[in-house]
Amino acid sequence: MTQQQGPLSRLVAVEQAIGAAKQPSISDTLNHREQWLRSTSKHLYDMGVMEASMVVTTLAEVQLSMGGDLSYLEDGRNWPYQQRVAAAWTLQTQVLECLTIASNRLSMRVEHFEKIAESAIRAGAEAKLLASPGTLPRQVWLQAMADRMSRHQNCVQQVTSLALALSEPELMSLFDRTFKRVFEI
Amino acid sequence: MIRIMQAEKLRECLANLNNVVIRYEMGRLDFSKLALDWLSKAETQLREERRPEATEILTARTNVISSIDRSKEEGKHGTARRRAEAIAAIDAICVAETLLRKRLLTLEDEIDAYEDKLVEAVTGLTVLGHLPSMAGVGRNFWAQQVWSALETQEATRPTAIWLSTALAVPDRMFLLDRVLQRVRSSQLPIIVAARGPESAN
Repeated sequence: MTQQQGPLSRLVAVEQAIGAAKQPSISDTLNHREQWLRSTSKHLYDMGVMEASMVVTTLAEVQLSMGGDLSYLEDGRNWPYQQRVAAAWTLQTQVLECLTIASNRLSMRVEHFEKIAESAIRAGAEAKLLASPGTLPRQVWLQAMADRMSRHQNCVQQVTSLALALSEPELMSLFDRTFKRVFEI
Repeated sequence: MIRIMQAEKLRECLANLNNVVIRYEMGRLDFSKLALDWLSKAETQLREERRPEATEILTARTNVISSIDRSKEEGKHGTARRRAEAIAAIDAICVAETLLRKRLLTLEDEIDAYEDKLVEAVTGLTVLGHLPSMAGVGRNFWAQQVWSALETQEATRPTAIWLSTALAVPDRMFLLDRVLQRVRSSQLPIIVAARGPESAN
């Protein structure tokens, strides 16, 4: 049975892929871009992001539309430069669409957890449970805040349900995101 | 059919698609045959689930077969024949991929929703102090004890009844095991106290 990563890790993987896909260098050839997409789609599959299969079919479609007879693979260097650039850009645009669909879907799931985390943190703040990180390492501070919140009646339910829904690293990552986004801490 | 298994089979099928497309890139002559095999597996998968989308994949597969036959009849050779077959095969693969992926994402959403319900219920047990301790019992027996507690505790009974009517037993126990895995690994004091020490079994 495939061991899927949690929603936050998957979203981070997709966001990283989007970031990298948006930054092609001038020397980026079509073949180079394809190799990168191939390894990215494999990584996304392994993470459990099934939109990776869209990336694979998009690759095939673009290859077909640009050559079809695979001439660019057999004799890629003879392909006109402009045509190779156009193919690379078509590929990039379509793959970005696929990744954006994945990102939107995963964001909805993450937002669901973020709302619960936000409600716990707000309840924790009202109960004066929270302290600033000071000189503590971020992870230690996050763990300490989660522990404090899990002991207070106003936020125990939210924190416990998050701990049962997410793995320990994902839980800390969620609190990290929520503290930064909502409280800018 | 069990949802978890359905999702796993769809995931495998989609993951195998990469190998099929790589054959096309390599210019392999057996690409169309491999594409047909993959389409056939995708169709079988949806047919086993009694999904109407299986018919759409059948139609797409038929188009590939007829395209291969037409190429032969027209006496196409080499690149022209390979191109004609590849166009039909990739079109069909795109149709099937969309159908499989949509089905898988729907299933995953359903599974997530059930897991969320289970998390709510186990949270209730934990917070109220009714989570059975895992001390001295094996993993499966503990899962059964937790399910019994969910069924008997007043606060969680309605959710347990709802889950047992909505999910097959293997699905329910798989999801419960996934939630209990997090109970076992959590460092939160309330959860550590509720679960008790781990059994050596």
